[in-house]
Amino acid sequence: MKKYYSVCISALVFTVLPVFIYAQSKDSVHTLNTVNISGNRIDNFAIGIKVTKFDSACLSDSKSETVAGFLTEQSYAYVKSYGNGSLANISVRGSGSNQVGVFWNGFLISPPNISITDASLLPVFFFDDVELQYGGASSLFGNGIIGGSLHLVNNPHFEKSFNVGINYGIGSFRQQDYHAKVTTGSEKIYSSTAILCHQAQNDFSYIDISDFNKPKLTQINAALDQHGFMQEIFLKIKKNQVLNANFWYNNSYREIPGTMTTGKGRAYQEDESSRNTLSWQISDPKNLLQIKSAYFKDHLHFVDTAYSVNSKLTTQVIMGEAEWKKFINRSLRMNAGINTTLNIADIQAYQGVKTQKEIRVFLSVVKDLFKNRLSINGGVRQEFIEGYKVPFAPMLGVEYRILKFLQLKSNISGNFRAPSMNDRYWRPGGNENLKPETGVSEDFGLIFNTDKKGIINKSEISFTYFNSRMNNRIVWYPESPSYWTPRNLYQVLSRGFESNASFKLSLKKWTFSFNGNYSYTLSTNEKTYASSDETIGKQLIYVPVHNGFAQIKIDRKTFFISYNQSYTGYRFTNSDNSKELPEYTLGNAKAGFKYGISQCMINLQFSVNNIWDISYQAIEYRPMPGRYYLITFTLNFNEPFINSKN
Amino acid sequence: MKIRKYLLIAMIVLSFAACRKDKNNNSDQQVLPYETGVFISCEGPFQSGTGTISFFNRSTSAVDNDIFEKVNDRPLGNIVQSIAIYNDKGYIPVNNAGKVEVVSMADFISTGTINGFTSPRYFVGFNSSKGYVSDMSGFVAVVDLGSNTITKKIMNGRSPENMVIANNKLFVLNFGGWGTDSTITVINTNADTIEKTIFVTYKPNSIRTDANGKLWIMCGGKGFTGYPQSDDTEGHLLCLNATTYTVEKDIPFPTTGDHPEHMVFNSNKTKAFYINNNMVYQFDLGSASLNTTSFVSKSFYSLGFDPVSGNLYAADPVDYSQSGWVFRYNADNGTKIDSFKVGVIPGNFDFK
Repeated sequence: MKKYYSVCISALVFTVLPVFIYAQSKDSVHTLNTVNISGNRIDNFAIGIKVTKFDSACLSDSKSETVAGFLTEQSYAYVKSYGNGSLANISVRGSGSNQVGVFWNGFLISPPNISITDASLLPVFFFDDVELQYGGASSLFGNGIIGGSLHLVNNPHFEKSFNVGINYGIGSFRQQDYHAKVTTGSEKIYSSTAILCHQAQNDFSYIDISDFNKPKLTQINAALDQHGFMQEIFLKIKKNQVLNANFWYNNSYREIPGTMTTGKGRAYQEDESSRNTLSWQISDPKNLLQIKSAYFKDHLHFVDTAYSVNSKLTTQVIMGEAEWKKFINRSLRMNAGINTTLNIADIQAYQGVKTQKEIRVFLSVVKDLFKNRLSINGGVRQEFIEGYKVPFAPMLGVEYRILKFLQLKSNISGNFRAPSMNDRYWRPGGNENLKPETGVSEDFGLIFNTDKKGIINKSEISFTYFNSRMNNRIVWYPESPSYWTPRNLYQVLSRGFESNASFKLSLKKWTFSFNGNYSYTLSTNEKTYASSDETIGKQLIYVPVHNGFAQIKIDRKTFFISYNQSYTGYRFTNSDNSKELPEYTLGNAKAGFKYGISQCMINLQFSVNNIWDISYQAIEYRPMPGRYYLITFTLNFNEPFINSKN
Repeated sequence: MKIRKYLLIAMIVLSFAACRKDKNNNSDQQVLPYETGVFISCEGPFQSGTGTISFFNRSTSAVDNDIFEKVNDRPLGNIVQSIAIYNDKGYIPVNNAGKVEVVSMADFISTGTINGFTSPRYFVGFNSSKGYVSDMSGFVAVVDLGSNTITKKIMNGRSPENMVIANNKLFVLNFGGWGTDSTITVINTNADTIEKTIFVTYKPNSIRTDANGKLWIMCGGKGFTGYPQSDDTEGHLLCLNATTYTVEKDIPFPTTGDHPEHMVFNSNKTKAFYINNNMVYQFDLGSASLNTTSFVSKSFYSLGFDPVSGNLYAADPVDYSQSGWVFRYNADNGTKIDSFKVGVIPGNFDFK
């Protein structure tokens, strides 16, 4: 309980402070050059790399969702969810979830012990933009970016504004959400304060297919209680300098439900993370220098009384980074940086506190040619990770606008992943002799798009082929019956394609939009390691070969209705592909109404998930909910200041 | 413009028309009678899948996998630990599901489920109305075989595992679970109470009765094979008097890297087979010292001895995620007879 008080107090301080500072700076009115403060390299240096950007408009209908739920509906990423409110792992292009990095304002937030971020604990509400980058990009984003990376971004707005948003959601299975966000801005300061409280019992009913009579049962021990707080302050300390401090606290209590074959769940887990970043940037029209630091602390407490398990894990990450962007001339730009990281893990099974130091240096150069129709990106990176010799990671990317409506995007990159701290230090099993995973991946994409005034005013069709071969894939394997150990077992070949078609049709006050996606992924092991092994050439477990979704949305000024149908193909559950889970398709529908009175906007949204009440398994024998509902009520107060005020 | 529209339509159609390729349905042979044969309990994938029972027909060498689900139209449950045949019934402790499934051995039809466990490991039958089940969470359950219910939980608190009945007493090995223990609990089968706790060496893992009624106990010692740590201890093979509870023989293994386990006896109870250092060894019960050369030099998860055929069975779970294999060996000279594919993680055997 004490913890909550301290959080509340810090929330109060952080909330009051910017308003106070804001009041102080209110008088100065000068239009300043807007600088691109984006902490990630996607904006100018991800040439030839496929990125899907979900901006605040895209996210606005999904404010009550988790990033896991949002990506399931809206992207090619395969989110392996253990049930409502439970762990959700992201896999991109058949990768492992430890081969997808999650970045917050440019900082990797995956804890170093497992290098996996649980996407079920990331609320969409906290972020302005969500960007999903596909494919290997170690050169650009570093260690472990083999499947792709997810970027959670908060943007400052240096303009006079005051906005309060309050959001209340109530739904099936005793779900209740309270969200609130206050943002204040001026030419000198921008502050955003967000608070979140999410509770659900998740006591849904499901059909127990493990019982002969297939009875309808109610899920137990699946409650979730999550609290989050995020404070961002951006200060323009000089005309060309911005100081930024961010704080993100998350606390959750989750019960771990059983599966149909394990009986009742009894365990619970508490996660607590605090993420603090401080950055300073200085810019002129041709240069942008950022000095950044971060301190992250993650704490996990797992309790299973039946087995007398009571384990606590704490990891800390201290990071410092300097990054320089140089715009040499109109067609040539460069990005160079250095990052030092110290990982500290206090984990019982490590038998003592373990640390790991990392240094990364990276450089990329982009050249635009033929009046910006052709862009070429060359990147290099070398990391020095204590305990491992990781390879040099180069990349070459190309974007070429062949025709006005046709663009080519392609890249080739060398990628790597060093073993996680668990792989190295876990006792028993931790293996000090592991090699990093290394390999090469290629992408080739064609994008047809038009952006015209007319009835069909925005349409895009894209097709991307990808291929990636990774050696020394680390798999935990029972070395002897009594303990498991990680080994460089597999050579994984992932290849396939992603296709997308979207268009927007405008008729008077009506807008009709469609978005359809389909991906085909073969991710197979190409190396055998034992005489009886039959995994060679077989699809990795829980990687669907076919995956897709289609979404239709109809908008009219104050009203919208949308429908999303997603398809997840069969997945194998055994490494020799002897057993599989059937495909399933889910429908979700949403409708929303807006009503504005002067500076207030009231928003009412109604969603129905799994509308056809499908009984399915995302993971073998794990109960999933049938049809369920969520009503959200949002009140927005917006005060845009007018410059001529004084 | 028109071309683009058609392209768009074609892409949309393509996006959703992709259909899955046909997969070969490895349909098994017709259901075999379970009159006589070998039953193999397969743990199943660790996280949320189900374990299975495989059946091997000695005369036809045919294998029938997942016979429980085939007959009963439902999965057995997560982590099928073992199978014990007693009085024409099969008792199958399902570890993570906290239950013991009971089947009729003639046709494998489910005749009941014994609930109320946390982590059941092994079953031992005592008489037509009573049996015992060890539960790793710290008790031995007394089970009424007529009603398939737990009548008493004998609290033990030391993660009991393998058990044997000798001299009308129940001897329970306390393996120590994920920790370490070094005791054997003796249970009085009349009162179903703890009579004595015998201290032996670290991590007793298997127990067998020899022709003279003596108990042989394999203790694995502290540590894990192939993972040397400073506080490791060597394994021991002990011979215990079932009446006086005194250790009559204590044969230590030579190094602290030796963690022997899965000891089985041959039919006339004169020879032991066990796994050590990822190999199978044989030991003559009359011998004073251990064999230094292996009997079969291959790594296995567990062993079984078929009293009907006199063959040694060994289970290979490969990567613990794919179909496992069972190897059959001639118990006299260790030559391989054959091998066959079973369920995921074959763990224990019983023979009929």
